Amino acid sequence: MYHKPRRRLLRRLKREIAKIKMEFAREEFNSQSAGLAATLAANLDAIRRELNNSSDLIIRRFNLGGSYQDLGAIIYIDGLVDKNQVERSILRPLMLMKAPSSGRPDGDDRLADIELGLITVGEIKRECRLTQVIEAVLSGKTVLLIDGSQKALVIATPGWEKRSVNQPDSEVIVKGPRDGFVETLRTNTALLRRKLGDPRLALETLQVGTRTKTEICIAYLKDIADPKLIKEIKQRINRINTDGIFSAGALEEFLEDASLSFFATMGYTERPDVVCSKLLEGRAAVFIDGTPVVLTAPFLFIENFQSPDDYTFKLFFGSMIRWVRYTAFLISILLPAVYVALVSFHQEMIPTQLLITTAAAIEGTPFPVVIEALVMGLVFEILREAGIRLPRPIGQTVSIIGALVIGEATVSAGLVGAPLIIVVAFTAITSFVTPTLVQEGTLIRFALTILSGFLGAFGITIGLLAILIHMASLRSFGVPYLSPITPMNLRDLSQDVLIRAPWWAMFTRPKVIGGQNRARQDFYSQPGPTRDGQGEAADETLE
Amino acid sequence: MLILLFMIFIFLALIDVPWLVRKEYWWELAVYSGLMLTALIICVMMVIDAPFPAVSTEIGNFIKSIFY
Amino acid sequence: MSQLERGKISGTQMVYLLVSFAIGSSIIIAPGRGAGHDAWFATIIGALESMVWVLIFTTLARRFPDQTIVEIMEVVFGPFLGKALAVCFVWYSFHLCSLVIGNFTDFFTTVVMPETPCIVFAVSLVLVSAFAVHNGLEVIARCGLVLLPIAVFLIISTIFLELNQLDLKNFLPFLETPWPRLLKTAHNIAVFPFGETVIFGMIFPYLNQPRDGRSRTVLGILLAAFILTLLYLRSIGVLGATRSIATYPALEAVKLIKVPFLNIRFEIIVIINFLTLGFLKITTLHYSTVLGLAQIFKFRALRPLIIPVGILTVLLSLINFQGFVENLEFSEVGYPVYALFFQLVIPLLTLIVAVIRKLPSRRTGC
Repeated sequence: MYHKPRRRLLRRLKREIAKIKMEFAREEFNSQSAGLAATLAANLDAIRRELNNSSDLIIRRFNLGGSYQDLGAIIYIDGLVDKNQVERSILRPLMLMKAPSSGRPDGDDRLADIELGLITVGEIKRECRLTQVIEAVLSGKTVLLIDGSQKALVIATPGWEKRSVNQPDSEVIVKGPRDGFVETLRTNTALLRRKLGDPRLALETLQVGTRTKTEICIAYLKDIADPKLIKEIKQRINRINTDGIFSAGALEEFLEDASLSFFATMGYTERPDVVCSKLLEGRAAVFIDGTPVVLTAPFLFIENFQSPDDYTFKLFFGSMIRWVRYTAFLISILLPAVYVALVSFHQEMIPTQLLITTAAAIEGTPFPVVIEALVMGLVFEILREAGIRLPRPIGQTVSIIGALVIGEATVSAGLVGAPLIIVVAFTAITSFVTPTLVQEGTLIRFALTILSGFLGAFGITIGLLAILIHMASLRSFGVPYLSPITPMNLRDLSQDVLIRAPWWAMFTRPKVIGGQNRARQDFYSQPGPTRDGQGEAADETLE
Repeated sequence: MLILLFMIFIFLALIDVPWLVRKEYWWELAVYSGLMLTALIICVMMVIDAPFPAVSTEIGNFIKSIFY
Repeated sequence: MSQLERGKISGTQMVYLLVSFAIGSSIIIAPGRGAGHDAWFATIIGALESMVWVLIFTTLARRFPDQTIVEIMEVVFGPFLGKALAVCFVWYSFHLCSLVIGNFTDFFTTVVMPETPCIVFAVSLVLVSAFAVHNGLEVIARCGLVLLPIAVFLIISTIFLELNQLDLKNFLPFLETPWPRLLKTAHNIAVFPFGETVIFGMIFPYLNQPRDGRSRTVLGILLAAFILTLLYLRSIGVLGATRSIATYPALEAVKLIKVPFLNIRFEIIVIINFLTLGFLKITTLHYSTVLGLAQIFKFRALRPLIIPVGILTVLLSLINFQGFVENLEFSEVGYPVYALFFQLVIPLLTLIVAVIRKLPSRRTGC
């Protein structure tokens, strides 16, 4: 029967997955049971062995306080620690000064005295398990072991190389703060704290990745964010059981609602002010150590069109720019499909003069318009990919010249009609107006072009309906993806979707996200000159 | 043409039948098969150009005969 | 409450869905042919007439707030007769779906793309509708919420664009058509499209507040009547006497739009309108057929029924009529009586029997 081979394969896969799961469990079990030995030499041997005698592992033995009986050692990885701090605040006091309890037999007491009295570093902890010690060493901390104690002191002395705080390249705004996140988790949370001084800002840290041991921090405002949302995020993170998480994209795929859909249900950003405003609306942000991209949850479709720039421009211009973005997105997904439909099926829809010039321009092209549109779309994608990977100064020039040359050459050779080049170029430009929608936009555009090649305007409408149905069924962490359009909420619509309401009129948070705590500010504190009791404007008296 | 028809029906069945079998919805599977068979029979009759009563016209004639 | 559909929609969403449903095919197949230039008045009378029927089936729905019409019939009439009547009702929804799809494919193959075989249109529509039904009632309602404002906006903009061509003389003399014909046309309009809202009896239990069903339906019908009257006014005002001979008057009316600088044709607006609202109507009918069948056969899930019902609907739409003339004749002569049976007689009968048998046994008051 033809089912058998498939069942065999399935059984084999299941066995392999069970094996991997057992290995994970064994590793966890093993790592949890090992503790520290009592003698210094045994501990150092164990650590050296676990870390495979790495050349960047530095073990510094010394005598505590100058006495020959008390032995101690610090362990760190060269390159991850701030050597100045290690020498000044750990080695110097330990080697030169006498601990109050030196000479006493109990190692743990001596360790406690050292921790409380000698080490002048801010962050310090006591650990008693070997795996924790090794993890600490590998994450840039210095570990202090003394002879006779089964505990170790883990001292935080981070000193690795990191990027300076700079405006991110992909989210440039004109009028606003220029700081962006960096790759270190602590710096990022510090940047966030600078913007949000509220004590109710909660930062909860978790760890994912069995080998990368990446630290993840969930940030939210305790009285605004929905507690169910936070619980859901934590549950999803705890379910992750994988080797390593390197980028926000990988974590997003583990956390998101609909992996198979091509709509992103988690937002991402590299700017602290964006994260701050999203937290104020009631969302949660997920920081990942090692990447400057921060994920936000929940994420609605409408957020793709919001940029921090809108809020620094004045009311009317900000609203107009919003509508320009909506139109640009519609053009970027519809234009090639509409062109194909008009030229192939509905020639009578084109105004007569335009019809004549278009017909003359596409006269003699050998391929059907659909094929041309798809191929030119593909060429554009290739140029874009090539442009990203080429080194900066050459990349831009090559893409521009490549586009021009290819466009000109194909038109002169008669392979492609000239209007199509215009269509593709304009589509390309409009697709960059909403950079977060580039993935979805491209896919939708190709799908709609193919559909319109088959069925014309009917095909386009069918495609759009199918996309609408799909978007209507998506939820991002429980929130419908198309809020506040549907389910409709007029207040949220008028604040942030249809127009960009002025700051003094945005007095509620979006209902589906920050529903608990809706009031942001006072009613209608419309700015204007201050008036006296008599009702005259204050500045009139200046004359 | 008939082969294409059968292939389409098998493809459509492959969408739902494994799901039904996995969830062990036997009664639903029975009704589903009945409906698909009816559809298949009608399709085959249309492909081989068998004569069909035009449904709504028949209904219209029936109504006319009663009321007018 | 069955576990077949766990979604809940709000009253506003149902109003949107109802208005899309009611306008859906009427944009194209305008039933007011017999009344000539008084068709807009016939619409108003027809809407009022359909209110009576709406009252009947909404009263029935209010007595059984958590059950769809199919379930109500089984409760009221007992297992055998109830199932038989429920099958009749589901047959009506199914047949109506195939009729609407038939209207659709006729329109598209005549006007838009004559070379495409009509089965292509039918299959693609049913595919998208199946996708929507698979996602559940909430998604259908949300789509309606997005699509109806767009359609209404397009309708109103075409009316504005044609204001300069409106000839008020076309409306005179007022009430020229003899009363019997006017009333018959009004009755036709009451049956199609307003009376078809009896289908929404399958959706009432899934409202946030099931008791709101009646007020929302009335509101929906009034809104739909308003929009339809506007449409008739536009067609009559612009086309005048030629309106009665045009098969698709809305299309003819829009063809006459002349904007000074733009030289584009506006029929695409009518096509888009019809497509989106028709899609909503087909999806709602498909959904009610699937839900009704699932409740009759006591299914545990809706999913297996969606594709077979879709295929059968497409097949029925192909074998419904032998020619377009029969289509017209059916819609003028046969359908008003045929549909009346389902829209008025069955709910009325159910209501009477329910009152006689004093069901539901634990009345919580209307």
